Amino acid sequence: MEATTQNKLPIAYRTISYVAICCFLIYWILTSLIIGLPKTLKKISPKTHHAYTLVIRQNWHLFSNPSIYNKQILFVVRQIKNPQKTDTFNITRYFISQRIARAPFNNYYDNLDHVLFRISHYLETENIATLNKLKKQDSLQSNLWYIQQSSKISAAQEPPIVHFTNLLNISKQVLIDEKIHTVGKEYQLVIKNNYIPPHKLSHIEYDVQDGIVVPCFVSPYYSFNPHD
Amino acid sequence: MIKKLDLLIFQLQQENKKAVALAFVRIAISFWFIKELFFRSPAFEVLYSPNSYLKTKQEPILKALHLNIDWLQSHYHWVISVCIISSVIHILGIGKNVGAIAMFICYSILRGMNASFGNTGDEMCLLIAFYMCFVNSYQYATLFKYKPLSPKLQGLYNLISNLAAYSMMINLCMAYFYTGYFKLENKFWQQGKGLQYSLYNERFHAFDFAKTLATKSWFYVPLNYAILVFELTMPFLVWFKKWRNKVLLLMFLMHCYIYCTMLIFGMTFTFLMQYPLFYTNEELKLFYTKVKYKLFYTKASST
Repeated sequence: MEATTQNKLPIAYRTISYVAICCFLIYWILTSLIIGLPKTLKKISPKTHHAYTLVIRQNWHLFSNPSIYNKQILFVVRQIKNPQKTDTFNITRYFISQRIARAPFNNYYDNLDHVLFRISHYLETENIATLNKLKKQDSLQSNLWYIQQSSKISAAQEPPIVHFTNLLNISKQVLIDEKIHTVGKEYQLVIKNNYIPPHKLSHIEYDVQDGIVVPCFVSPYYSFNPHD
Repeated sequence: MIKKLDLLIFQLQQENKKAVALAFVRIAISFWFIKELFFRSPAFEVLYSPNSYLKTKQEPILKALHLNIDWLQSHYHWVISVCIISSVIHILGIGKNVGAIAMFICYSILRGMNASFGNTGDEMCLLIAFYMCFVNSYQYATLFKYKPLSPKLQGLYNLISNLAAYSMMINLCMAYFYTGYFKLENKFWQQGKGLQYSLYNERFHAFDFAKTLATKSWFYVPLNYAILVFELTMPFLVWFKKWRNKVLLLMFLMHCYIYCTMLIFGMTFTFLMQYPLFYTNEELKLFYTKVKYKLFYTKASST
């Protein structure tokens, strides 16, 4: 009865109805692939993958890979004339405390925390790639030496790595917000992974300092005022 | 096969099955966008201005729309104003789907101006805005009274609207399912330690009690597996009337837990906002009448 009613509709309406159902099915096949097997679709049809991700982003790995360490972004400031005296600002901790203090209307700090985490992760990944290259060339040095050298190379890249520049700029902004004077001072950016106690560090390649804290990026010192 | 398909099309053309819930989602999402902009306003200079200390690059969406990021950033006040106007238009239901499309494009451009700035809540919001471009959410709570189209056109409109509304529901189910599935692949979640690591993660420490909870295995081990079971079964059980309320209540409690321990508000709100879609128009109307009766008539009769 109902199907007969559908048959009575003009051909154009029926065609549009079928097209709508087809679009729905195609969309869901693509979405399932994008969410479940994103790399496969990227390989099979890069253009389709690009077109889809241009409009919609679907990534539902929410907490599926729990972090086994707490990333710490440290901004070390010291007097140029008295390098022994240093002040260390924990940038990660700063954003976390701001997020907590301003909840539930903490979106700005929540998002900046995401930015911070994301760019520090990219920077760390790039640094590990450089570090591995260095290790291939010369395998006799200590791990901390490799970290310092690869960080130096990453920091000196021309044009500068956007993530590194952003990380420095965010850290400098924190100092401005906290009204910290920077005249006659220089700074260093350090990223450390602080491993969470239950985790065993058997697979970690780096030197383990203080038991569970592993440095993964140590920049050289830069002056706040390059003309100093 | 064709007959079955025809029957399905016929059923979907008869009525806008989620009209009430869609009106709610339309208003909620638009208000959410406005609220986000309002609370971000002190940081507009940092996020979108060309003088910001955060350096950005030309995103593919801007390239596709032939928009120059430098030009957009130097006129960011205008872009934000247009975003707010499009949200207000969408709340009032002016321009119907054209208004929804305008809102989606505006916020996509805004995201493209600083793509690194965004979390899961923002992504889900934009996804809902995308589906809103296709749905008929204008039968309720609009400035101008809804005028039905000719029966044939209304049938097509209902069909597309119902497909988009179901897409929204399927997408929510998929988000939960794949989150659970990816967790199941992870060795820490398999060992019952996934939640413990999340509680130890400083980035998501809302309060100090999270650290204390992370030391109590009687707390985190059962909850670890319970979360896996919820996320993997919810997408299937929610479609059965018998299970729907119980499952949605459990998911609501799970989101409350996420909010209380991690203070992730955006994701919590945007996920919960879609729950009314799992109810029919009649059920929502009845619920509204009951609430209205309890709030107003009981008070009036007691005075």
